[in-house]
Amino acid sequence: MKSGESLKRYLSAVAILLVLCGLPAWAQTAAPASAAPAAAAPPPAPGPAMDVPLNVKAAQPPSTDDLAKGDPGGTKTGTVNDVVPADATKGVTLADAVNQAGQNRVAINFVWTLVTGFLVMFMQAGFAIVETGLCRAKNANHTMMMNFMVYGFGLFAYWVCGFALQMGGVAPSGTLGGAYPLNHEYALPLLGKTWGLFGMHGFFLSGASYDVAVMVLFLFQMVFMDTALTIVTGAAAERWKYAAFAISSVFLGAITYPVFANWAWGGGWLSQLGANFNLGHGYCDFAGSGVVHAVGGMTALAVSMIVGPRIGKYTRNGTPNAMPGHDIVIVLTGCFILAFGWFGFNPGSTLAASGNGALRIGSIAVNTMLAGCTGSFGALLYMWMRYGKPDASMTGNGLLAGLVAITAPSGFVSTVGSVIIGFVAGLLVCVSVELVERVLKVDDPVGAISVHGTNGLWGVISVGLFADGTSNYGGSWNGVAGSVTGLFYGGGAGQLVAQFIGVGTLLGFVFALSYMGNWVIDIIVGQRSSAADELEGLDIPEMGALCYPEFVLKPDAFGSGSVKAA
Amino acid sequence: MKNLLYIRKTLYDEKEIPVKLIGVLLVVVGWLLPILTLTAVQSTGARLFLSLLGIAISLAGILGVLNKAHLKDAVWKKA
Repeated sequence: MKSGESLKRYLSAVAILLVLCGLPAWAQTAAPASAAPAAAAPPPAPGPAMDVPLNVKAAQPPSTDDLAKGDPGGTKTGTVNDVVPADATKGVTLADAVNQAGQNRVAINFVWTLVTGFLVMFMQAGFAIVETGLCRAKNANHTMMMNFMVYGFGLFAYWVCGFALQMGGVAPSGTLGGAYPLNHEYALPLLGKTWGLFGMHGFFLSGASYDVAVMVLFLFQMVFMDTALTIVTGAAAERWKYAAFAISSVFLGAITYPVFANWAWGGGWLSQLGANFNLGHGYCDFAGSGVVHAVGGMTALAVSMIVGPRIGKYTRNGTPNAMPGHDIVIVLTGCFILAFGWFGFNPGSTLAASGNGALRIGSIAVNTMLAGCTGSFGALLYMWMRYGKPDASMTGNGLLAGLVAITAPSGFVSTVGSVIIGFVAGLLVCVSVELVERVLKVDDPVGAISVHGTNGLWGVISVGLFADGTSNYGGSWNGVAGSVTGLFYGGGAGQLVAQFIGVGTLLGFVFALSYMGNWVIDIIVGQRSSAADELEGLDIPEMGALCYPEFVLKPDAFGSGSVKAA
Repeated sequence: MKNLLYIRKTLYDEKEIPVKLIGVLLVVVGWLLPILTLTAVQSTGARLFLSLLGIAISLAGILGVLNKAHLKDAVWKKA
């Protein structure tokens, strides 16, 4: 009996304990919202209500009568009157004002990116007349038509797949409001790291990519890609079969350019060398000395080697003959157009004019200006001292070389750095033109390999030397906190190594892929026009019309023509 | 058919195909050398050396092998 009572007492005690311990636990599990908050965390201070109408009169907006009197000083236009409320019956709320501020920032960045993209698009005209002016008159129509249609071929290929391969995994792009549909990068796990290889979203700009931010990014990136394509037409001018040019341009715009651009700008493995292997901030190429110009220059070298030199360029013992262009006026006018367009190329590469350190656009524009200037100084001095005359076409190429070289470092260097980079580029382009023509015996009628290839690589390397550690684009670059700093500014050699790996990739991957692609095109359709067509000039055989029909083409020493007035 | 004949003729004319393939291989090896050693080599100095060596190998492939192969049957030597 006793044992039965004690058992009852024991069970009762256990039941009471279970109830005492279990009830609060059950209560918290069943209804967490009603549970009291932990005593340690004080409740957050209540912020201003976002949906309460604001007292807009306190902002003293001008009345309709005031505005009707006109606003010559610009002090009454653009006030709280211009904030659009979500609910007109309620009036302007704090939420309306905050949303308007966010949209204004993205709108400024959209307009900036679009307008600078329009400037870059106009560079096509500059390239077209520079290249045509440096060619002989009998090939002027052909050269212009290559430059004209490279825009269309490149654009179409880029819309089909190039953009997706390049930028399909780049999201989020903070300055343009996210571009969130571009969120899938194909990455390969290797050596214990993931190596981003190409993007997977954005083909045909369809599906979720039908997005305003994606469209802005597409336009800006497309005109950059087309700049790379138009470099090749200059190096292979006067003997490149038009059909081969068309296929080669599509290949470059659809595959070669986008893949390298993804590695540098689309979140690919080159940009992650800093985060993955502690090499500075990874490969840094602000506006594309490597991505745009060196890719074009490497492809130009590959195509020039495959098509071979023009008839008459070299004597039988390999001595080069000068084959001057037919119009130096349009060459130098084209250089000015390109220098103007470069103000879109480099400052536009911030993809922003508001927030994330984007006000550095002023410094970037001045760096661009100075490097172009000292590039022309360098080339002019070299030619004057070596040949006794300030050669016009090489001075123009010096300007372009300075601009090409400052493209990668423009966002990271000071004005002193940009002056040095530009001057070295001006000297380098002259030395490189002589090396390519006399030692390598590669015929490049416009100097594209030296201007864009050699100086594109120099621009990439110069980031690792001259980056001064003062840039701050949202506090980090390529996922590494802090500013890009080169060897000369105490940043160590890590950044320089990343840049060298970029150079190695341009030589080892971009050149090899371009060479193989164009070799296959050569085997299937043939890259070079016939000797008879070349001697006649490609205008009639390839295009069916002369560029200058009212002029007589007089045969010269190479069986080719120079223009004389009829 | 005309295209196929053209392809056969082009390949027949290409006497330097093996040399060109070796040139391309050299170019690619120069690129891969510094990348594949990134995990094994931690020292920045060694990485700098390897990246410069890779560039030198690629340049040798482009200028020393490929370009020479193209110059062998250059148009100005036939004139």
